[in-house]
Amino acid sequence: MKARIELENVGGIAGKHAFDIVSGSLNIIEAQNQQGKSTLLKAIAAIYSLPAKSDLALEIASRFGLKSASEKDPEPLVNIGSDKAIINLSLDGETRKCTIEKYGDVFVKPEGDDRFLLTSILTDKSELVRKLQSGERNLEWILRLVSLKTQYEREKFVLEELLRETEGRINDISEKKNKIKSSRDELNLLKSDKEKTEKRIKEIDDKINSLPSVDPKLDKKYKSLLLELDERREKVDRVEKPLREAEKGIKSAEKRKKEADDLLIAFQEELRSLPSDDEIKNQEKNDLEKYTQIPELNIRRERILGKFDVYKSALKSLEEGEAECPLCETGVITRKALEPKIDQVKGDLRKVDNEISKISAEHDNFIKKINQIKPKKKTLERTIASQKATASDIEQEIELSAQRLEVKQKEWAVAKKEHDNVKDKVKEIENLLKISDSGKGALIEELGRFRQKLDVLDTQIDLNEKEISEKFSEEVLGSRIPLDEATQIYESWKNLLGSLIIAIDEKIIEQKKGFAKRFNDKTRELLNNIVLKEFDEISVDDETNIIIKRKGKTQSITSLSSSELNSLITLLQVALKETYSPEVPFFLIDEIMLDFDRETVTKILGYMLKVAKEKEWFIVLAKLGKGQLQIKQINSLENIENI
Amino acid sequence: MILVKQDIEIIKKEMLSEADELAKKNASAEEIKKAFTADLKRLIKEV
Repeated sequence: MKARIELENVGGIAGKHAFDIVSGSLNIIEAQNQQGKSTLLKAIAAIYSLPAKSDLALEIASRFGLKSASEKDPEPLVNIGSDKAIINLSLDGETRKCTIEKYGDVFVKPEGDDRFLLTSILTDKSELVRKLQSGERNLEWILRLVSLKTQYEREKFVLEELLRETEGRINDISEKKNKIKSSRDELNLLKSDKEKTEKRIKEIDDKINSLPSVDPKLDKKYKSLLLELDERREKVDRVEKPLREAEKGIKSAEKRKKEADDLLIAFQEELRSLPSDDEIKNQEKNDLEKYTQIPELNIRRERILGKFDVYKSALKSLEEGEAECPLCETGVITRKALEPKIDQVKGDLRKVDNEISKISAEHDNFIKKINQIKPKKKTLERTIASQKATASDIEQEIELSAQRLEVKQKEWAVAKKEHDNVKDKVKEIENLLKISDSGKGALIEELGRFRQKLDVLDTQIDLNEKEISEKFSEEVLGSRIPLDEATQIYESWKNLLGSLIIAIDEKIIEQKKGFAKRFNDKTRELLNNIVLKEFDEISVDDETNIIIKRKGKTQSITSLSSSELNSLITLLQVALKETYSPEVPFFLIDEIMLDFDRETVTKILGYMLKVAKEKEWFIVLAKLGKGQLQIKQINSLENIENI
Repeated sequence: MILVKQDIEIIKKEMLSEADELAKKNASAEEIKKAFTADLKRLIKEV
């Protein structure tokens, strides 16, 4: 398989240039300094790793010279005489594109993966090289990028935050309950005080009634007014209760209306996010136009296959000793003329097959997508209609409740006015009695004070009961529910969150162990294949620390010689590549990293050549040469020794 | 509203699967919070 890399004003290479590299072989980029060896490596690295999303990836990308360290600096991959650099990489019918603006954005399609920077590049600037050379033996930094550990840690953090919030709500409810208890105690005191006051009023009333009257007519009127005042007070109480209920009803309906409106808006937004009927029609038309190309492509495929059969039969004839062929340009069959034609036909066939697969896959995806969108749209339309009806019903309910409330308010106002009128009349007569009947005067004055106290107590009791009733419920997900039920719900939620945190913790540990296991399996396999005399065992423990064993003894990284360290780094980098980024078929090496004993270098490169052949990988090695930039392929173990 | 006690274990299992999905799609803290908070609703049902 061939990959074509096209560069336009990239790094030190001005203008347009194209390079071909081949899978299943070691591609040696050879040139003297300043001829673009590193630029080519960087271009491949950029296309598979940018835009570099994590902080670590950005730092490494900047170290490799793929990205500027700050927004103010020009992008290092843009040629000094140009405003932008363009990199295209075509492989197996697909093209990856990367455009880098000098002081602007980086556009990569499809987007690269941060992991490429950690797993697939071996130069003196690689993270693994820097860490190990500084004596660092922990691989947590790579675990974070190649596993889901960071994501689960983020989830754990959110769950802990939710747990804290829930505990806060439980505490709030508990405080509310305490406050309700003290409000109730206060209410009981007020009620007892009221009882005493009423008793005292009755006693004074009785006393006044037992005294002989100076003005029997006035006295009679006074007694009848007192009875009327009691009746009026009871009437106000009777009217007040339904009035408060009506007020509550309206508040609750208004809240439900808001929830229904919010839900309606959410459904409408969801519907708007889906393509309109016209857009769907256009998309269907476009899909059909593309899909109808398949029969034509199949005809083209048949023709290519026919050509292929003819060439194969010509090749067979050649192998059987017949050299004459009217198809060959020379008039005779020659392998030299035939083989490029067969390659050409194979290439054409692959292109047509790719095109057919691409169109079929796009069509299948489109049909799948449309089959999801259409029923979803219908369901949403039905839901919106029913939600509108619900909102309208609630609105009508609010209107009716408002009318009822108005009636209740009027009734209450009339009752209150009547009560106050009688109260004024009572006061008037009391004043007259005080003047006309000095014997009763003092008692009437005392009675007035107690009646005033009774009014104050009534207001306080009313306020207190209202406060208790408001505190008696808690809002959970937009609905008010009794405190005891809210406590039960939050306690269950708290327990659920707690057990989820424990389960997520286990997943974080699993990620670590899984990382260690996969990595250790690969290094064991590598050591079995390569057989390095320096090391018996290379592994990572559950805490992601590298463990090196030699002759049964654990060895520290700092005790390794420079050559041993380089061979260890190379081995670990290959293990990381094979374990965590095997889907990207590129592995980039700078010759500088292969500065250790020739026997080990040959073993490792031999192993990589084997992997490249098995997996159709492109191994690209930059090497200092004497002339202009050239790329040569090494396909056999024998030639590795000549690198 | 009442508490749906008997379904808590099922909800826990489903939330763990949800956690795996969220991890795979590299969801942000905000997305995770939104998804998990929505699960509180599953603990209770209207009566």
